[in-house]
Amino acid sequence: MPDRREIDIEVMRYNPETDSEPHMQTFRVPFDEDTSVLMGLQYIKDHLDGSLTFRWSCRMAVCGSCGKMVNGVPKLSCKAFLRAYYPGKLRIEPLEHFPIVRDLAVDQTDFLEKLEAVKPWIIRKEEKPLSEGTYLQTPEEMADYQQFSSCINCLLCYSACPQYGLDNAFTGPAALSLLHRYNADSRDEGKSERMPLVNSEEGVWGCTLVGYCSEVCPKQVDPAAAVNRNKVNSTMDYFLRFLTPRGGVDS
Amino acid sequence: MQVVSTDVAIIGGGGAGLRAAIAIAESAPELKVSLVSKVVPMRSHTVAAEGGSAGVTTDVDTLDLHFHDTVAGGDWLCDQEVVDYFVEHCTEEMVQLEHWGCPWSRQESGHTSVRNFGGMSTARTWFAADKTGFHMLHTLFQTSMKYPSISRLDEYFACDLLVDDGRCQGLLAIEVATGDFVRVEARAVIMATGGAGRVFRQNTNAGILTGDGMGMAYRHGVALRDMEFVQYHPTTLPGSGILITEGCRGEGGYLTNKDGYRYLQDYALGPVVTEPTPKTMELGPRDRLSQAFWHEQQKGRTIDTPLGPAVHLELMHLGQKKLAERLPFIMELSKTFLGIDAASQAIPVCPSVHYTMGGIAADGTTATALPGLFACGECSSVGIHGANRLGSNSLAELAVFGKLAGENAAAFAREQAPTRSLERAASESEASALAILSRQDGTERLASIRDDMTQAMSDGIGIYRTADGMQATCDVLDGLVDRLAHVRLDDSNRAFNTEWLGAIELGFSLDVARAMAYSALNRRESRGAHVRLDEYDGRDDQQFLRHTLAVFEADAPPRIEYSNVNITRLPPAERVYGAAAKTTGDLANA
Amino acid sequence: MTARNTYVRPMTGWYRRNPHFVAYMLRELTAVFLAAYAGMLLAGVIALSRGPEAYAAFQEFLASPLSVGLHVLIFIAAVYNAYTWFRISPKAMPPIKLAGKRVPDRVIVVSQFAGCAGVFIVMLLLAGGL
Ligand SMILES: Cc1cc2nc3c(=O)[nH]c(=O)nc-3n(C[C@H](O)[C@H](O)[C@H](O)COP(=O)(O)OP(=O)(O)OC[C@H]3O[C@@H](n4cnc5c(N)ncnc54)[C@H](O)[C@@H]3O)c2cc1C
Ligand code: SF4
Ligand code: FES
Repeated sequence: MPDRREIDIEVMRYNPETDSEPHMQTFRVPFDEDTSVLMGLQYIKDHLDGSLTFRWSCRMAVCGSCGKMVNGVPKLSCKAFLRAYYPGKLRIEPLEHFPIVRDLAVDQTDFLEKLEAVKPWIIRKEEKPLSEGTYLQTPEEMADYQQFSSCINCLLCYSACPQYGLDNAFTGPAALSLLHRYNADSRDEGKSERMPLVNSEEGVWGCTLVGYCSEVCPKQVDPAAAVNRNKVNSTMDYFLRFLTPRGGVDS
Repeated sequence: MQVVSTDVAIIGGGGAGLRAAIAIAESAPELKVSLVSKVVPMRSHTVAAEGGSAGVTTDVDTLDLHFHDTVAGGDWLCDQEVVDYFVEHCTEEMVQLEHWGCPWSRQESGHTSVRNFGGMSTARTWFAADKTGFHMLHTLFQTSMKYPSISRLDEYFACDLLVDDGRCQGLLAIEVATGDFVRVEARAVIMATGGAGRVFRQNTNAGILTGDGMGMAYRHGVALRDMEFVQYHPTTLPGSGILITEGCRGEGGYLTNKDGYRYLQDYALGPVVTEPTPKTMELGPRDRLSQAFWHEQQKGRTIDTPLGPAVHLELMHLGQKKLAERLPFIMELSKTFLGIDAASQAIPVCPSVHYTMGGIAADGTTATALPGLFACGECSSVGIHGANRLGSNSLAELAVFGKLAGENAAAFAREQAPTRSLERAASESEASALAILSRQDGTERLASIRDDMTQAMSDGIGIYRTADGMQATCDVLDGLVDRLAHVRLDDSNRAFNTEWLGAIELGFSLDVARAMAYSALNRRESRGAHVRLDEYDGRDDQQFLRHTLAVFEADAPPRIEYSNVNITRLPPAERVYGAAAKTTGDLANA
Repeated sequence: MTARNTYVRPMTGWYRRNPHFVAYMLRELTAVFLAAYAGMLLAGVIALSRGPEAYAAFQEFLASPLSVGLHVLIFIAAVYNAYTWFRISPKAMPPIKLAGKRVPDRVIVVSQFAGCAGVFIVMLLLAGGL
């Protein structure tokens, strides 16, 4: 048996049925080399206090459920390990900038609405029949959007974005990355339908290039790049609208 | 109680549920679809699938070969007409996903690529690097957003089916955030709740895979079929069970024991080859590879790690470039969970529970014996996997049968009169769910019942099984049902009470576990993933070329019955791999 | 999902909470120094237009310790500003491709610094040569 050490985990608690504001509660948790922060929380729930509430599912850093603030930094709790914080302690809070539903679980509906608003699906003027097979797309063409398609919707970037915290009308890093993912896909022809959102105040111009979103992203999506490349697109779109009667960059 | 009135309700927002929803929206846009899921759809465990999805594509491949691989891989317990339908429709579904934007890995020419997979005679597995399920799920989820007829009930926990007049007419759900009950009334219901790997201790599954849908259907009299066939995946991380995809071996990875020896050659999987070769060595089927691990362990040739015995998966010879391109997620997982660079170090791996071949008994059209209830995806048993599923057949399954379930449920719903009032049925199940929450005299801790269940299942329903071991597991499970009735929760709130939902889930899990254990105990032969060490160590077609049906009995273990297997054109034969499979390999190159 | 009684945390003092935000606020603050420098240039132009005396007074002011101190501060602020922008500039431009391959972000950042250093050295040489 590997040696077991113990660490203090301070968690934010909030019960919507009884509390008017959150408070912190500390638990002592045994851990070893392989104990993730998520496993620490599971230990608390299983053995110390079954009412501690948090989301998780895959525990392998791909479902995007388990984001938490760990000592002030947005992290996937299944991908962070208790050993990294020892002998200090941990302070775990729900993801910043989202309303708290209960304890560490936040309300993610706002993001889901934003995702839908960017029209995250392939838009074509004419669909190719299935019998004609796949579209052709070279690896180079794929590289234009691939990194932006690897977003797991974990929302860490929203917690890293003060602009979203100050005004949540801002579409935000992940949704704009996915918008860009479709615009940059050689199979898509829907750019002109998405540009109004890009150009709007809630679109890319809400971003002041803090850049922290890309630092915390666990999947190297680099949402800041997606947003800022679209500032260029938005500017071009603006000027091109004067030049072309039907307007917009579309290809 | 809030009421949602819809035409088709789908329980489960994984690949299968989403594919069904889109199929309805496309084939019957006038029908309202409600997609009920206990997690937001893109969190479903389809997201974790790594390796790929099957579909006959290359010139050397044929539907016949895919059919043959699947039926032989399933040790002849597959329904052959259904397999035929399946192999005919896989590729079209992969193309459909491509049209919806799925970023399949490509060749230089711009065409999609396929890779080798275990038990398949030639390369036919479509892949998106090693994040295939992730890309399929997000593609389906995002595409589903464009259909106005699909409305989602995200984070609604289905706790019961509503059955009236012998017909399934809806479901009862708990809104997770508030704890409020919602009655969803529908003319047809599709079950797509995924697998049940969480009834075992070490597994590759997400926390949500507790077998809820299987449990719900089972309690309403629908049999669970072939539940004893539980797949152990040969390459997962010791302790956590996190999956290291078969794609690693498809790309050319080696399995070695503590002496650095490629031990699979000792288990009728040789000759030793250096390039990935269909059905040979590392590309043998999962049941055989997991069994080989067990033997290596018996011989003391495994490697001891702090989290248990392991063998080595070597990828080093594939080179940094190929690994970064084809297996980036595996590189990330090894770095995160083992702190190693898989380009320069071997990954320690061992078998863990991975997949439930069995499930809610459904026919080839996805209809169950309960009118109005359809089932697709991993929770179902439509008859294609038999006694052992081949890797990459289940992502294809969720697309092919998800679509079919959607279309058939829509057609069924059109014929039905509006749903009748289900108030009584709903309030009865509401009361029983609430009883768990309000119980004051309980003594048992939820986690300890759960841990005892998973331990018993891992002990008795392992890679190798004995009558005594299985009997012991059955006995423990019977006792746990009683203990669950005396559970005491710490949390008595309604809002976002995951402990309460966990107790309901554990009820389903226990039912599913018992169906598995009793089905296993009663199958007195060895076939596919069900292998016994006692006197029943051989296949017995005379008696057991039949599906097991576990039928729910209130307050008693399941009743075990059998039904015929549909065999049309491939009569039972011996399953052979390695050199012995050469003839079929030649077929592939013909 | 319609959660009830959700709790929204206040944003007060957010810029102090995280070193990244502190750095970001500092970057925004550099704008003040750059504006001060622009003001100074403008003052010089106005002095010039008013005649030689006014310009001489301005030159005298430039040589004063206060002005030198201010210029050093402005220089630091400008370098910091350039540094932060160079670091994130690959994010703000469309991907640059050389022979079909994307130029890595790091290369872009490094070449900007190199270019800037080059210009700086040339300027120093020119100033020295005068
Ligand atoms: C790690 C891993 C890797 C895999 N790799 C491959 C591969 O490479 N190739 C391959 O072919 N197969 C693979 N498989 C198998 C395959 O991924 C699964 O069989 C398949 O994704 C299951 O999809 P599904 O839609 O049936 O269920 P899931 O995607 O598991 O979805 C289940 C859904 O049901 C919902 N649900 C469950 N219970 C309830 C309830 N009570 N109320 C409301 N909603 C509920 C959940 O919220 C979820 O949305 C892999 C499996 C695992 C675990
Ligand atoms: S962009 Fe990165 S941080 Fe943001 S949601 Fe996607 S994966 Fe998470
Ligand atoms: S639990 Fe899925 S990302 Fe952490």
